[in-house]
Amino acid sequence: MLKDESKFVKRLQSKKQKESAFSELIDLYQERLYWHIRKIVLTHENANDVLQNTFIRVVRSIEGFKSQSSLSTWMYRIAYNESIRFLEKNRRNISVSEEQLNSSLVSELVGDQYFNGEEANLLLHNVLLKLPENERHIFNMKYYDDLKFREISELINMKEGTVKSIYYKAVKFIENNIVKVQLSVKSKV
Amino acid sequence: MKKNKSILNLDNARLEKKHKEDLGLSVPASYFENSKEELLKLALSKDKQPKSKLLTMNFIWIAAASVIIVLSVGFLSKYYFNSQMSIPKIVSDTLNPVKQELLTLKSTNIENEILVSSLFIADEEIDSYLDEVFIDGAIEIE
Repeated sequence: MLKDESKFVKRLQSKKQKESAFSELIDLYQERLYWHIRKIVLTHENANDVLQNTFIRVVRSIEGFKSQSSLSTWMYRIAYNESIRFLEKNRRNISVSEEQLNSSLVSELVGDQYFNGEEANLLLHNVLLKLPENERHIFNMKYYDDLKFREISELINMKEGTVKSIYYKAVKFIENNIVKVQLSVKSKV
Repeated sequence: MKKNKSILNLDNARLEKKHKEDLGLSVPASYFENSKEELLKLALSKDKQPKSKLLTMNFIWIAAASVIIVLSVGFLSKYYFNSQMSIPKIVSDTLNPVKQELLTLKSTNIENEILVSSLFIADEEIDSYLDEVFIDGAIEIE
């Protein structure tokens, strides 16, 4: 994604240039990471908190970054870990099952002033939440974050072929479930 | 760098549109412009703060105490068995069941003490210790 990433990383690691380099880093990745996080935690307020935690962790860990993966892969991984940790913490605080947590996420989303969705959007959220976590994650990264299969496989340490098959399985599941729900809504009308 | 940035901005506009249309997700007006300064300030100020050593020290002390207790139990049990060797067989036959019972009771008590003392460490403390040591470590290894 960056033309000369190693130089940029060196700037991020140097004490003198850290601030200006970090400002550029925010310009480059803030929005992408925000949307990546938002799809996991759903509300704007939570996404904002997790985004802050992500950048704090990035700035604190950049000195140990050894360029074994690309900077963007590393940052996506941190953002994903922070989002999951945030959800886990919430789940532990109110001790609920994953299913209950998912339904509480949707009701929180409905109450979020930055959710302007209609019934169809909510339907999609509900179907997405029915997917197993890794399938949902892979679907989101491919479909919404526009990441390449190669990038996703690097990010989650999985073979590219496996990532592809999981993605197509998720697409099929979403299509089938949306059709099912729409049919049941129509029959009620 | 500038060329890359403009491509990313184009992508960003598309990303925002996609999330809004498909998922109904939106952000406050000028959110990204405003939050940039906040993120920069917050992240760099946290970077300057030294990592909490106190928490790590607490955890280390508790871990060390547990290891000492476990080693003592091992040593004591060995001592008991050795001293038992010098007792005449006829006496040890009657003493054995009693000593065995006492030893079991003692080790159960120690186990309970470890469990009880672990209750005094808050989940958050353990979480942040694990964050500091393992997650930061994993990121550093990367």
